[in-house]
Amino acid sequence: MLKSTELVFAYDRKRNFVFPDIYADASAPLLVLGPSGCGKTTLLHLLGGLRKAKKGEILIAGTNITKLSTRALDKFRGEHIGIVFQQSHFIAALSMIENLALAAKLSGAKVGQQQIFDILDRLQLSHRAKAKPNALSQGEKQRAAIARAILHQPKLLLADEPTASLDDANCKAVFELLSERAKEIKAALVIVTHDARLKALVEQHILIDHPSNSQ
Amino acid sequence: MNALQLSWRNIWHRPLGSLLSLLLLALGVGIISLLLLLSTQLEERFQRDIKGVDMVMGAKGSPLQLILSSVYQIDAPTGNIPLKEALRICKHRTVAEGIPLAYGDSYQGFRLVGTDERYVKAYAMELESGQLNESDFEVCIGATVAKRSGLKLGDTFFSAHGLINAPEELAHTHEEQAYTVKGIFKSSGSALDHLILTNVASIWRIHETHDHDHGDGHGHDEHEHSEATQDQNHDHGHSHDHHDHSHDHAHGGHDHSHEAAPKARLAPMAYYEQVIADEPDKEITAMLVRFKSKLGIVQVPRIVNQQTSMQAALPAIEMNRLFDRLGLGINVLRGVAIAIILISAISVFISLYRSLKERAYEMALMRVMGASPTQLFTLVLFEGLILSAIGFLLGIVLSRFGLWLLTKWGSDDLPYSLSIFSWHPQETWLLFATLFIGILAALIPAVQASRTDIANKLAQ
Repeated sequence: MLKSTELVFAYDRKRNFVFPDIYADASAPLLVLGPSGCGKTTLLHLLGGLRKAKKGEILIAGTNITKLSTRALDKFRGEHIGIVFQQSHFIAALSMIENLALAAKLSGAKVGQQQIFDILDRLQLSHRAKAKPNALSQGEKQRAAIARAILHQPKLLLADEPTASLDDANCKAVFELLSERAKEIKAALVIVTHDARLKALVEQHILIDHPSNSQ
Repeated sequence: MNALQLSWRNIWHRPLGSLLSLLLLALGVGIISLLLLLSTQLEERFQRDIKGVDMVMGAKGSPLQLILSSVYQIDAPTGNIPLKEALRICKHRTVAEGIPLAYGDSYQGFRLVGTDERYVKAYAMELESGQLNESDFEVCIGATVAKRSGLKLGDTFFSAHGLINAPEELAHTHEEQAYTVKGIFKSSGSALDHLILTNVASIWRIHETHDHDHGDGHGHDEHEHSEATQDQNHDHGHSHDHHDHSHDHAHGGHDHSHEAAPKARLAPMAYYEQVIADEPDKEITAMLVRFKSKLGIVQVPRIVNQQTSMQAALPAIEMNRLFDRLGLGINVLRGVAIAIILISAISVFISLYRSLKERAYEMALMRVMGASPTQLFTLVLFEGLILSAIGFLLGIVLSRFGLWLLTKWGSDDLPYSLSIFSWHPQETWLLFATLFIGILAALIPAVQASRTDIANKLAQ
């Protein structure tokens, strides 16, 4: 469950981003739309606890993360938030299965080897378990990134342009994967994108068209 | 997958950079460790052999050569000295004892030394089997001699003239009189392991007998023969002073030497006194002197050098001089090794710094997944630590390998065995220094990793 109110972010004194209030829960995904440079990614970083907001509140599963200390925020993020980025990056030195095991360990959640295998299996990646990230295709990487984001069963699943680099077929597949898995683990799903193809697939939209200057 | 394992995997994910760092580290550590081991083991052994020898009297020449030949059994002797003169010095009130050494022959390259039981006692040599040599032509052999020559208790052998192992056709063996092995010493790790000990009389006698064989054609009758036998001896190319002199004695009074065997049971000094009473010209090669008081070190060498035909050399001073000279070379090498280690530290730094630039996104990602800045800091620090630890281990292996090569190929020149598996106390410090350097090299990259700006990195 995610709820943000009166969120303001300042890169510097002159440029303030004021964001519309956001509400999302496990029942349906939320699409945050807008052109490049409108602050979509900034919003995602705020929601994910990667940046500090200047004003406002973000409630995730009952915790106001804007009030958390840096260390507590790191811990909270690891435990309760899963993020899928536009470019999926992995630890290059580790195999896919080791990458997932490391992610599980860092999140602090108790995830067994069997669970990791199960998820890889359901995302049709079990044959790449021992492969290094470089050996994977773009689509495989994106699926693996999703696997990594949902492994520890977060309360909030954030996705930043998850489909931008994919073709139509993969785009649909990845979206379905995200929404299905989110529903399965009862996580609120927020997708930030400018990908028009997703509009047709998601009911709830929020549009960020132009950054407001509050000063 | 803990931080240590992850660091390990990251190191081998860029094998070339890591390998270069490791090679440099191993080389630096290896050289320093080898120098430590070599210089201390050699110095230790050199010091150990000095024990109980305050001064050496020998023929004039290089004092270092005198010390090397009579204490360490490495160099050729400087010549011979009259036993009479040496004994006179021993009467000085500061002298505790003087042990004569007589060289001249060898067996399979091992030196035969004529001395007495006080020599064995001074070096605290213990018998492995058998007993000490008592009569003429009985020997006790060092552990290395026993091992390499295969001589056993009761075995007999002929000594060869000269101190080096000459080719068979050139070697002149004293086949008139065989030596019998009476005892075998335990290994002491000192130069004495490479010696065959007998009494002084045996060395004197063998050269008399040797002399007679050549003089046979001329009969035993006249003293004039001393000239002839000496000439014959020169034909053999052996021109050691003491041989000439012993030939003289052969004619002067060989009866005495034959009687010497039963008389040998006198206390050593009394025996030598008796010998020079009968034959004032008897010679030895050197005499090891121990003083009762430190005063002797000041007084006696001056007396020897000014009032006799001999020279006095102080082992402690000569060896210090030698190590001072060696020390310069060792210091230069040590400096080079330290420079190599520092370069390896820079190599570790560059390797980590560059890999970190590539891995900045990974670092941000790990932060997203819940890793704390401290965890990232330790992750990078571990990489430096692991590299320096492996480098240290490789360096230690390298130095032991070097030492092994030295003992394998250089042992003929050096009558010492080096212990390969010993751990030098300073190597513990070397370990700490190496680890410290590894940490130092990783420090800046580690701080950078911990300060990774997640959002900016991910927004790129």
